This record gives sequence, C-alpha cells and structure tokens, in this order.
Amino acid sequence: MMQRIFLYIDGSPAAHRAGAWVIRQAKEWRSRIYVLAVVDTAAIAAAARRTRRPRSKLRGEWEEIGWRNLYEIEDDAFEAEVKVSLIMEEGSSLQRIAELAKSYEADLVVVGYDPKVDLDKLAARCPCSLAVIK
Amino acid sequence: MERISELLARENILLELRSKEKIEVIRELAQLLIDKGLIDSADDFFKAILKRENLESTGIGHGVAIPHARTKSVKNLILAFGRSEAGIDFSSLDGKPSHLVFLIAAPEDQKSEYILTLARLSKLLRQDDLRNQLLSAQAPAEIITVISKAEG
Repeated sequence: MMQRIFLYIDGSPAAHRAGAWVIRQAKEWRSRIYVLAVVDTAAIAAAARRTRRPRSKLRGEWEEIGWRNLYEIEDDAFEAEVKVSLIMEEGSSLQRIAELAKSYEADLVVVGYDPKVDLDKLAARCPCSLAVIK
Repeated sequence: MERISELLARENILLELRSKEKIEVIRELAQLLIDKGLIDSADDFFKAILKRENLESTGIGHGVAIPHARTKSVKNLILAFGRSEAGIDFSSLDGKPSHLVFLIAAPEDQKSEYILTLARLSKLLRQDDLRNQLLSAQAPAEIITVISKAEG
C-alpha cells in the first residue's frame, strides 16, 4: 500500500497535474504526501550567467516561487483532507528527490513530465516506484 | 501585497510564550488577535486552525512553525508572533522543536495573498541570521525592525 507518496513540484503545468493526481490517489489510499521543491543551484548558476543578475537575488526569487508552489499544493491537499508535509531543499533536483525519497521511506515518487529530465537516471536512483505524469 | 513587517503589529508579538504545547501556543497567539477584535468567531477560527494542524505539520524546520488557515472568521489577513526559549513540538520533519511561531489567518477569499505571505515568510525564515536576530531581540519593536530589514 502506498502510505507515503513523494511528490516533486517545480511549478510546471505537468507538476501541477501530478499534484492533482497525487491528491486524488492519496485520498483513496489514505496516504500522506510529502511535497518537495528544490532550489536547483546549477540552474540558478546558469540563469545568473545568462541574465547577469546576482545569484543571491535569483536564489531568493526561486525559493519564494518554490514555497508558493508548496503552499498551493498544501492548500489543495487540505481541501481534500489529505495529510501533507512540505519540504524545501537546495541542490541538484534529481539527487535530492532520490535522497529524500529514501530518507522518508517513500513508497512512490511522482513527478511531472519534463523532457529535459533524464528519467532513466531518476528511475535508477529512486528507491521505490516512480510515476511520471504528463 | 503588504510587507510582513507591516502586517505584524507590536501588540501581536509575545517575546516569551507561556504555553509549552502546540495547541495551547496557537490558542495563546490567537487570543492576542481575538482581544483586538480581529477574529469574529473564536470557535470557528480554532476549528480551522486545528483541522489543518491535524492534517499536516506546520513546523517548517530550523526551529520555525507557521500555523495558518483561511477562515470566514477574519476580514483581513492577520499575523501574530510568539517566541519560546524552551521550544514547542510542532512535529517538524527535522525533529527539532520550534522556537519561533508565526500564526497567520486570512479570509477564505484571499487565497493569493495568503499563499504569497506564507511563501515570503517561509523564505525569510530560512535565513540563519534572521532567525538568530529574532531569537535575541529584546522588544517587539525590534522583532519588526529585524523582519523589515530582512525584507529589504
């Protein structure tokens, strides 16, 4: 039984659909959702080079967006009466998903489909089943 | 959106919470807002806050908790702050007690402002310097000043 579902969100439409799917499933399975947002340091570094804006400023903006995404999902989960925990992390998204899914003993990891993400790599690192929502 | 430092009034700040347990802490902070007439129905308000506490941990780690709810019992977004030297168990995922507690309530139809306020506050409170300054502040006015400076 999927008691602990680990949802990674990045603000994308696919992640939003993944969130809706997870909440529906969690309600049916009576699971707890752990929602993860990651301030991806490599992406920030690339954006800083591209935009010539300070990393610290970009980091603050991206973290706030991450928290907004987390609280949006939390509010939806609350309306559905689904138990939820929020996690904000920093680093490599792929790495943090796998590490935290292991740390929290996730039964299922759910992500929104992103063509830039190496799903084979994520699946290989995941300690449990992986669902990708388009 | 109003700044966090503008939403937080001096009289809604407790430098040392008397309560030692999560639910009682929430009641203690809510009482500040009730006494000022900012909450129409204390019962409805508590139901909303406690319902959320039963479903999730509002402890976000690093010694911080942000109990929050949208409810018909408030007309505007309101904020209270309390500090506990001993720490309160808010079931944070990092297992640490919460020493800084921010209570947020918003009207049901102000979801955007509510989410934005939660996000901004959560982001600010991940700064070690800010948390340390809040822990060592000597007066409610200093709490507000520290937050205002962190907001930039």
